Amino acid sequence: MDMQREAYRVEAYDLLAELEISLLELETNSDDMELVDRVFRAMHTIKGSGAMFGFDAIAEFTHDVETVFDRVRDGRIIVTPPLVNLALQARDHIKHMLEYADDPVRLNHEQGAAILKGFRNILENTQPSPEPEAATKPAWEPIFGEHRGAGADKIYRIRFAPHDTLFQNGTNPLALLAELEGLGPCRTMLHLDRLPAPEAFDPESCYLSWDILLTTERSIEAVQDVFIFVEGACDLTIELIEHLESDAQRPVSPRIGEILVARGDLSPEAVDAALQRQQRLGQILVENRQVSAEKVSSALAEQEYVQTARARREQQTTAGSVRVAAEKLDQLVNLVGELVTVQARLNQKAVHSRDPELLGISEVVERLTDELRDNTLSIRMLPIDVTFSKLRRLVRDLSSELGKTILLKTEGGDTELDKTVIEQLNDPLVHILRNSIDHGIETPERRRLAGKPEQGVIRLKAEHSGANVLIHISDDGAGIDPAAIRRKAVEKGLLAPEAERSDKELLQLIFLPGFSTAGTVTNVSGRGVGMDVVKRSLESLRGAIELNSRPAEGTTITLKLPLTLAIIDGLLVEIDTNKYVLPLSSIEECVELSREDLQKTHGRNILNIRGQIVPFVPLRERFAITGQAPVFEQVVINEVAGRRVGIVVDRVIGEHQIVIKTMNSLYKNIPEISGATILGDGTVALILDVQKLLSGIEEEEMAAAG
Amino acid sequence: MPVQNETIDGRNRVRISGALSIWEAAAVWGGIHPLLQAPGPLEIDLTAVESCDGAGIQILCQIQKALARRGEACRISGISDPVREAMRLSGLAADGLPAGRGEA
Repeated sequence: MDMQREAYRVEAYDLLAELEISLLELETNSDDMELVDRVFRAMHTIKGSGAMFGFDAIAEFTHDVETVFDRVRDGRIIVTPPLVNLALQARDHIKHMLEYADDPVRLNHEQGAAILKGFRNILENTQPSPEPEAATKPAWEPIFGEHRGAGADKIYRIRFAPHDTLFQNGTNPLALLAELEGLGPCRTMLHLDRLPAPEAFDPESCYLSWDILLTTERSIEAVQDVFIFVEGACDLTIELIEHLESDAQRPVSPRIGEILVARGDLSPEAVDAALQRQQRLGQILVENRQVSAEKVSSALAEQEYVQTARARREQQTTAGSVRVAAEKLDQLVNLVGELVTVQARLNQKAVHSRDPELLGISEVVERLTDELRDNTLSIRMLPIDVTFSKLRRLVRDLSSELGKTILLKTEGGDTELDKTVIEQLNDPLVHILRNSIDHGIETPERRRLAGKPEQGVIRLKAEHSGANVLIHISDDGAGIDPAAIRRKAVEKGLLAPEAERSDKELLQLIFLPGFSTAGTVTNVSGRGVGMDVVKRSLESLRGAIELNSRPAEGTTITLKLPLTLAIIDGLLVEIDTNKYVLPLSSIEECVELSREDLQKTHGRNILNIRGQIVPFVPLRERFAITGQAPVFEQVVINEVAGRRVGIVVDRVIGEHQIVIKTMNSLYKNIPEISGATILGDGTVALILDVQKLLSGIEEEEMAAAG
Repeated sequence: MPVQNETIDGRNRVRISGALSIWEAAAVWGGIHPLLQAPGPLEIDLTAVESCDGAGIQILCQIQKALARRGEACRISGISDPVREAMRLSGLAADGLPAGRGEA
């Protein structure tokens, strides 16, 4: 039973996460019935399974919430911001109930009761069920053919309004529709609004017109070709309304108003005016005779069609998944790591032995190991959307707490990162967003005065860049004033009053420990945790952070993160007999350094590479390795935090796939070493953290300079 | 004559046969239009329609619309496969309609 209870808990947490996303979407998309359905189903499952596994309190609590959403489905209750708010509170309360299921004393029962009271009030104020429509149903009515699209990726909206002479030209519009069907599944909507009274009806004139949604892989030209012979005999528009694959980020479902405007049935002003009232948009527009009921139902069908197509695609991508405990995956990655190491040894042995059979086997093992490694690592990859959707709630709650209106736009949510990276990314992102909401985005009044729209925008964008993933967090807020930073830094003793710094350098001071520019310490940010913590946690992920800001225009923070933490491409180098690994991602080139060159630098450790001055660090000296350096040393040029720096070593051995092993606690506190790896011959190579190596040297120099 | 009509027990029945296309549209409409004035519901038998195009569909829609304006129902007692296909293509629900005798 305990296992089942645990399974319920896991499932319920998933449902609650989904519920949160749906509710937040519902807040901006209040007429989206599919979202309402999703909310209802989530509540329904939480309630039903809760009762089954002995979570009676949860089942009881959820009952009224479910009832309210059932009525929303019937159209008897309208989605309003207070309702969504209440539902979000209920969702949080259910989460607490799950957390404290074994310790119900800690639960805030008063809060639960207040939420329930809110829902009961809503239920009491509901209108009774509407009478079923008495009107005679027509023998047949326009329907929207089944959506059978699978695999196809584009949806076209085709508006086909033949001129009245079409029939007389000998054209059968049904033949065109049949031809369209040949391209892909269609949803055809017939419009009869041009059909005249029976007395005025000329059976040889065409009064019919169609809206067709076509799902196909074909190009727009292929669709246009269908109508090539009737070009002069009809009004025709063909538009691509949805590209299921290229829309990497799942955009908010199109709203009914947007669809009507896009189709040219309605002006944007009319939609805005109607939206001012809290009713179903379609209903209002029809009541006001701004658009015919037929047009609205056609637009509704389009909305549903696009959503179904999206859901189908999503289902295709998530179908057949298996839930596996994270530890098992970590174990698998470890084992693959061992295998990679052993394979390297086998390879070396085979090359030495010159036994063709052994070499053959070794090559096959190498290929299989590579595939196994890539597959295993890809299993641990998660889309960053998981984190993004958590932040959505944060932005919503914080902005309303501070009386600001903020829109969070996300992009690239399907970008995948290693599970461990995603997990450790949450806190830094929360911190950065808190800063943006609290200090970045201004209050609506202030924004109005500055000539900006009242609603602030925060963008979260994830994208691939080589072996890294970049996450940009940008806001259109007040930006950071370099002069203010200077004042603060001087005040805190972090900067000498006369020191000359560029604006960019001043911005970097934000990352120093103990720095905070906020004039007032608020509840939201300024809890004594500064950007230095963010920077440090990113560095522990082998990532980097960059900040750009323009006063009055906004701030952009870019996080650079490695795709995975377990295996990296590295450059193996040697000093004396000691082997080291430098991460390949930051290496630009290798140059030779002769003893003569070295003498020319007069001990200043500066190199002239194609006219550019590049400082270098002699690693032999730094690590106090005794013995004679070779006549020609090698300088590995790295790009670190926008600067080029050389690392001098004896020999460069070559590129290697490195399985990172963490150091034991004895060596854990050496900042310059981020880990170790075992090479093919069994020797250990230390992995250098170039960034920490340099900052260590800089600190020492600063200290020496006083 | 493509349109035959009869009245049984006060119910008006129309049977359309042969092709129902732009070539026959004027004749078919000419046969049906007067019937639309008659009181009571109308039953249409489309089981003998051999082909149907856009003009044919338009006539069917006009029949339904004209009757609906008078608050009368229009019942289809049976349809042939060509009509069913034409209705499906043009975006009309034909699923619930009875099939033609031996033709479905």
